[in-house]
Amino acid sequence: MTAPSSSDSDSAVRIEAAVRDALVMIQPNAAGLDGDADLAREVGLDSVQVMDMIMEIEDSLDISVPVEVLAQARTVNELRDGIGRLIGSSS
Amino acid sequence: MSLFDKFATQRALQTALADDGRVASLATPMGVIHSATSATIDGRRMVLAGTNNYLGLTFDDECRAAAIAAIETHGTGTTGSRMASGNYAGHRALEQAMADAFGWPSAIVFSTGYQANLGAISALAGADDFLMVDGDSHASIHDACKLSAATTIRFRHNDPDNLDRRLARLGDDAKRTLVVVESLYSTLGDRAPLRKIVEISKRHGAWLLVDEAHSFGAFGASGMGLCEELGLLDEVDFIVGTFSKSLGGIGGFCVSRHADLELLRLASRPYIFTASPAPAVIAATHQALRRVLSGQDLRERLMGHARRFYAQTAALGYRLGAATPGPVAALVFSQRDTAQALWRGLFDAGVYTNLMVPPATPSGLSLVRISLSAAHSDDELSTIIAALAQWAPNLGVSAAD
Repeated sequence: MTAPSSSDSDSAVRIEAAVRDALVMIQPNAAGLDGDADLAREVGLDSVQVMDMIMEIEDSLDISVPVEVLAQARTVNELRDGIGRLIGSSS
Repeated sequence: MSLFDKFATQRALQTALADDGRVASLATPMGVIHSATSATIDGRRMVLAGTNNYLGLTFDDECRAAAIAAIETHGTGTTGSRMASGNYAGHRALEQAMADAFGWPSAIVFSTGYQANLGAISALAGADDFLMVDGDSHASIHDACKLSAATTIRFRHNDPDNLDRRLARLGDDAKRTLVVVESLYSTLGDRAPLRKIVEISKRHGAWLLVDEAHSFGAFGASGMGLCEELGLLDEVDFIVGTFSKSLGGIGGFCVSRHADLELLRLASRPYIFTASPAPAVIAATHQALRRVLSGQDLRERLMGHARRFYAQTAALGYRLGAATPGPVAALVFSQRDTAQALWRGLFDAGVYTNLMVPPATPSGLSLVRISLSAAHSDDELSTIIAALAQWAPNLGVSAAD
């Protein structure tokens, strides 16, 4: 296993920030939320709000997130990791 | 744990909308239907202003006669799929008439409008393809994406620049992308910027499917919808629509300027694995299409109502979901309780409308959606507007300057 490069680390920080910023924009009460919190059950986001959040992330990172990626992400951390894999696979 | 635990949201919504045992604001039980614009509900005769019966053809004499004749000669149902025993001459004749109306080589009739989107989109876009859909698309489009094996990407509602950026990111894969939009969105009644969407899709080499469910019959010189009205029929690849709005029946269609659309009959699961539409529905729909093609009178009457309704409700201070008048008039509220109170107030005043609340609506908005009809009399339209004027003060709505 190789150590993560500084660019990987930068990318991870950027994705985390984009996800967090978008989440707070859609649900202001979600600031400081645990990354393992369930977006629907615990944060209370409905499907439309999740879509709005994703579109904020897409604009922030200049990416397109396939709907299939969303379906696999139930928590903030899972969403962050899914987007990380998406960006990694396209680079 | 129960299988029903996951429906907690729906249970909460059902409880919130319960109104002391009065007639429900969702799935209102209809009693006797007297005409295209009148029914008895909860024992009272009411004006129907929420039925999507844009041209009022459900009670057209010739459409009813065609349906009755079809039952007499062909029976009540086909009991089979189009791929088996349910492929009647009437289905083929209607498809030919639809294709001819658009001046295109191919049309396929589906058993519902929902299945038209499901069947066309899921078959057109396969495992190595992409679907690019407007974020506010109808559930049938989103469900089609799920059924398709294609990679699905949503773009911001009615935002051509957002679509442009997403298609650019796909690079050469844009040529294997089907862009899907509605021309007139049913929730708010707003229109897609179709010229820009056509230009962007063509520039990237993408294919374009336009759902004209709420605009077919209402717009265009021959009633074929907003693409026809805007002169875009030579630029669009596929048009999907429904028979359950302007044509007053049930069913759906996909027409295309590509003759290869015919191949979908062998590949589209929602087409293959369902019973074909009943002969009476096909006959009534075919007659309704002839009526649509026969002149502009119904379209002009509908749009006259729309212009009057939009102007007068805006003057009362109501916020409308769209700036341009059309058959869908959505009164928009930020609070569900306000929309629910208006729905109840209109109901008590003898006007039936549709209540739409989150999560079924965009941006968390709540709406009272009014569908206008060419069959509304001028007096019925006055009744609807007077009821809105009566209730405006109760809702904090005040006359616009």
